[in-house]
Amino acid sequence: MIAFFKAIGIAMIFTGSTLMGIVISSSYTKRVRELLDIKSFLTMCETSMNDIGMHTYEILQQSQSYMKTGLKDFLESVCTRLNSDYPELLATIWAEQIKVHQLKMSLTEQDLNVLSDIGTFLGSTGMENQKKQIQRISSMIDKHMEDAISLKNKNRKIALNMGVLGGLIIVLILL
Amino acid sequence: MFATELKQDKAYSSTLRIFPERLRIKLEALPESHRIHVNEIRLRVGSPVMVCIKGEYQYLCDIPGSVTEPSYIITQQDLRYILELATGNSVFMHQEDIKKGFITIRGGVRIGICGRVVMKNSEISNIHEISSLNIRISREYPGCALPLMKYIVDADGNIANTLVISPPMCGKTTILRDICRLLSDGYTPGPIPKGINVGLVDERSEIASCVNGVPQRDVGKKTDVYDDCPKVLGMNMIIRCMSPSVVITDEMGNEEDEKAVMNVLNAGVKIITSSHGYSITDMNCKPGIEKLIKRKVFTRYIVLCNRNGPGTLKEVFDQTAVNRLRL
Repeated sequence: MIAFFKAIGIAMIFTGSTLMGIVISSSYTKRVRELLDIKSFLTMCETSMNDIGMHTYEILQQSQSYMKTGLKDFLESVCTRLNSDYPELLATIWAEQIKVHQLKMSLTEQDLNVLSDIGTFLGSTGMENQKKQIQRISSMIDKHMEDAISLKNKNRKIALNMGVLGGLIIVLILL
Repeated sequence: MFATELKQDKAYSSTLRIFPERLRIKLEALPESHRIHVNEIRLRVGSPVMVCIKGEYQYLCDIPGSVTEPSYIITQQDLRYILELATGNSVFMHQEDIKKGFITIRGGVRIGICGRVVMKNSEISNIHEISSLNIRISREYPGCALPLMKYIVDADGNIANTLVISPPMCGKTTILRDICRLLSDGYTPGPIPKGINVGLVDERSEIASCVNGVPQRDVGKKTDVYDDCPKVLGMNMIIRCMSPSVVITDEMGNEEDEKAVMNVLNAGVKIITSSHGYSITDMNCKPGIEKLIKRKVFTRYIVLCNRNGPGTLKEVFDQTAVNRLRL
């Protein structure tokens, strides 16, 4: 009986540690995907504003329909708030929703600062200024992306292996 | 005064959606009897809120029943907030209008903008640091043009080329909208009970107040609208594309407009339009209209005033622009 519980305990520790490794490892991939989504959102903003003449709400709605990461939920909430009976400024809603959704995303604090930055200018100025700001943010995202990709390449496998290895070590110690 | 009175008012409360909460609460607290007559809300940085009720300007704090204290003043942030919300958080979409000093938003509400003008290549490129906003609340008064129709359409159903002359805030656009609706849908008793095709060139989106191309105001079922389209281009296009029986447009004045009116008439289409002015003599100062008067293009001149409220009929002239018709 004791051996049975011991075996279950060992299996749980090993699985838990491995899962932790998988979660940490996938967060690197998720961050890259989320940054890619921000980048494609900015591209969509630029083209939709300039060529199609869409309103901010329409751009947000269309963008979120293409997304699959945590950014989709974030933009969806922003759209819902914008569509309320007494709408508020996009900047206010944007900042509030970042606070609500930040834990569901794998973005770092620096990434979230860039995302917050988008809310401060989006839709609040003329076309030329919007373009300049989008380009500025885009180049910042590019740098963050380089960093995210190198971190992913460097740490993703390590995190996964560490999870498995850590589990094994704990198991061996306990044995 | 308009022939029809409003029972309840949605225009005022829907306009308040774009106001910051602290300001909206105070404007919402205005008694209903005043709210239905508010034509304008004027906001100036560093000044109290001013409203125009039945053509009379008053500070919000001075109106009986108001909950606003005299020390309550407007800040630049308030104006920025209103402008951003008025554009649906899409200022970039209204940049061209902002350059002209106004934007028209959902519901036909027109917002005049003042502030520091930014010039680029001798042209206005933006209005920055906004110092005041004039929010004009537009309302529909279905049937308000009915008493005027006998001057515009004769017993045989012939439509007179008509110029509606009116000072600002006297219901010129409201009357024009209702004329459009009556001609389009027809009216009884009258010579055109089934209505005719009407072409509406709505340069400032004030008459039909289109949203996504669909009129938000009742301009009639047989009305084709060119929304947000320069008058001259629109008038030339609509006679070619939609073959209307009558073209309706707002705020004529310059020489280009005169050429466009002549094009409309040469196509055998009637024209009904409006111009800012207090009397028929004011029209002689407008080069485009002066020429049209001399050519006796218009067969009716309808002059409005604000004596008994917006839409008061002051006088009607025949094609000579001298002989008054009996009212």
